[in-house]
Amino acid sequence: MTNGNGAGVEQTVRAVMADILGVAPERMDDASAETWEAWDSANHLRLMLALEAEFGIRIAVEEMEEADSFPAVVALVRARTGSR
Amino acid sequence: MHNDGPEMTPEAFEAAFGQALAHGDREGARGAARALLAKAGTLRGSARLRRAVGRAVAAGEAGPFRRLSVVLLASFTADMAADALVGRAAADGLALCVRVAPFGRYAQEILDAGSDLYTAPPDVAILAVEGGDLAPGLYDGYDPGDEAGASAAADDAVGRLAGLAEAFSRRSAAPLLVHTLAPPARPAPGILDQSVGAGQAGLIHGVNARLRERLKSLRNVRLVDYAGLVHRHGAAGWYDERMRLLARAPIAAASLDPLAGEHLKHLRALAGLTRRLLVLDLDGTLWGGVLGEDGIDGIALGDTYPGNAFVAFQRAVDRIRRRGAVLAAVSKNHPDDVRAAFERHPAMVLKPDDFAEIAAGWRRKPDVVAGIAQRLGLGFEHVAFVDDDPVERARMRAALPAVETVDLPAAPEDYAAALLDGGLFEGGGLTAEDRERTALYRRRAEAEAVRAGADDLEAFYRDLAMVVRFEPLGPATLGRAAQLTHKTNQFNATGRRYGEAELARMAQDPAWIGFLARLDDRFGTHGLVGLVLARSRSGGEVLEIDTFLLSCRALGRTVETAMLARLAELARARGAKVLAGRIVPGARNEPVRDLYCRHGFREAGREHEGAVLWEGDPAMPDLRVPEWIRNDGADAPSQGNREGRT
Repeated sequence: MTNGNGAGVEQTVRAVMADILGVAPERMDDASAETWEAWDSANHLRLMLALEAEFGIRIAVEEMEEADSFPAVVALVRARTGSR
Repeated sequence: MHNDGPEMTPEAFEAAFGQALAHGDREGARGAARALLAKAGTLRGSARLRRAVGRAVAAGEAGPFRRLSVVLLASFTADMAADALVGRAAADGLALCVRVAPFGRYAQEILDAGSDLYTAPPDVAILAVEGGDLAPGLYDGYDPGDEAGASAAADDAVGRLAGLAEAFSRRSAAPLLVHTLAPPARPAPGILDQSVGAGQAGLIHGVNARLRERLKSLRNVRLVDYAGLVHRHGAAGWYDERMRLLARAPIAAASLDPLAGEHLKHLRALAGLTRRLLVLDLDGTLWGGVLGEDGIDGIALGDTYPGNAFVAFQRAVDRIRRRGAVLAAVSKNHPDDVRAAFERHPAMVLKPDDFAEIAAGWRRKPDVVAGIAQRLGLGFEHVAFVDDDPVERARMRAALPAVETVDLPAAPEDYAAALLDGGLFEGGGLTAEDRERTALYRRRAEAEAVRAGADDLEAFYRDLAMVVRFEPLGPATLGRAAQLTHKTNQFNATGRRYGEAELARMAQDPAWIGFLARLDDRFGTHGLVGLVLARSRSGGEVLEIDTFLLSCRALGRTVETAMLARLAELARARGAKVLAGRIVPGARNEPVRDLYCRHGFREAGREHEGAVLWEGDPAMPDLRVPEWIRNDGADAPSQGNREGRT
């Protein structure tokens, strides 16, 4: 599954998170809402809305709360977009 | 616009933005910001731009951008609205520092004389209160059966909002923008809201009208038509109920950009960035077709499509003029034709007196626009340029980046929205002086001299990435060739008209050479735009050009040089020693008259009726394809007799 830019889900999520959090894409594997200062509640909302816009998906509030790490966000987007 | 290749990442755009700012390159920074927003969208792009602008301002490197500090006093979580505002402002050349007042404290900040709002006063404050937060009795608590209660809620809303604006105005001279209240997407009484009592929407509109009345005496307070904005975009889609309930952020992600756009119209007007001069192309912009080719009766302007679309666009331009903007026109046309069209065409909305200047001629448009701006005493940052031709737009952007060049969509019915939604002509006064400005400028223009601007023409040609292909005169091209001889008047050396049958005979005759030129560039394909017909004389010693023409859409781009170079190559291959051509003066063919002179030919004699014969050596150095034109797949021109009957 690719988005409009032709990139894979993981790569696109990485790019979106880099834009919102202001962190280099390569560092994203360690991203954690709990320990990263940049990943505060305001940026969490920005991130969820940006992912919705990027992938054309709708994320339920309950799902938003669980997406607190890079792998968790990727898994969420994959589940919503129906890609592996 | 040179740095927006598809391979660039948002990170790279952000870096380019910061570097351009640091180097004082205002238009480069604007372009990078615009490209970043286009590439990554409002949320992602604005998050980057807000950080980048903040860094640049902190480092004292926002130099080329106008700096503006804004406090957003909102009844809701407004961080994302602030991001979007900073992002769009960056694309407009403004470095915005936006402070969002702590959630739910908009009233306290205004009413407390010791608050940050007054101890660290901003350049502009925005009071954005959602109606449901201010006056629940008019929204969720609205009871259609309780007229007195609803009316009291309306009075209360007016009193509280106007009271806040008045309190601010007493303590601060900074401009304050106050949102009006937007009616709900789903009125409580349903379809009866328009029929029973004052109605919920009716009461809310009444609040807005009374606010307007109360606030009009406050010099530093302006209303933002939030009700109209929400209405234009649709209240049902404007809000995101989920985000309202989850985070008190009721405005949907997709609405953040239009909201920022509306705020920015006000901010630009307050910062003095309103454009004052609107320079318009004519052919294809104010009317359809080409005046020089189609004549006054042939251009599209009138009661039926597409003429009525151009009438509508002229009306939109006229409304901008009535706001106080000055109009000018620049057109590659004969001045007499243009004057006649404005004076005589019955459907023309705009009249010659509506323009400070109407420049018709063959000079390059950036030079002309620079001259007009200079005569009017206006900096390029006050000038906007509108042209349907993407090549002219690219040329203007390359030469005068500070001039705002408006991209027109393909269909004329969409022109007005493209021009008006850009917000370029907002907030100019509507005073008698504004209305007189055109006459004032016209007098000033008459008194001052012309000074041409300069741009790097070669860079412009290179940037176009032109590709010219030559195709033989033959069965596939006869129809287009005949059409070109009949329709081309301006760049047509001899003005000879041919039918398909005559052209078919030439294609068969070995004494003749005939080919057409097809032009593509980075904006797309232009089709077959040029035609050359030439005949051997004097036993092959002389190759004489019978017809040399180029469609007006390909003028000023050195395509004619490539065509002459191709012809010279064929002449050499035939062993011809002389290439001869004549210019027969026609009513409209001024642009072609220096064709041979420019390419190293010498005058070889005058003929009757002003025709001039020119001769050149097919091997002379002027006859080379310009290095910025790629010459692809040059087919051998038809030598005739190759394919039997045509």
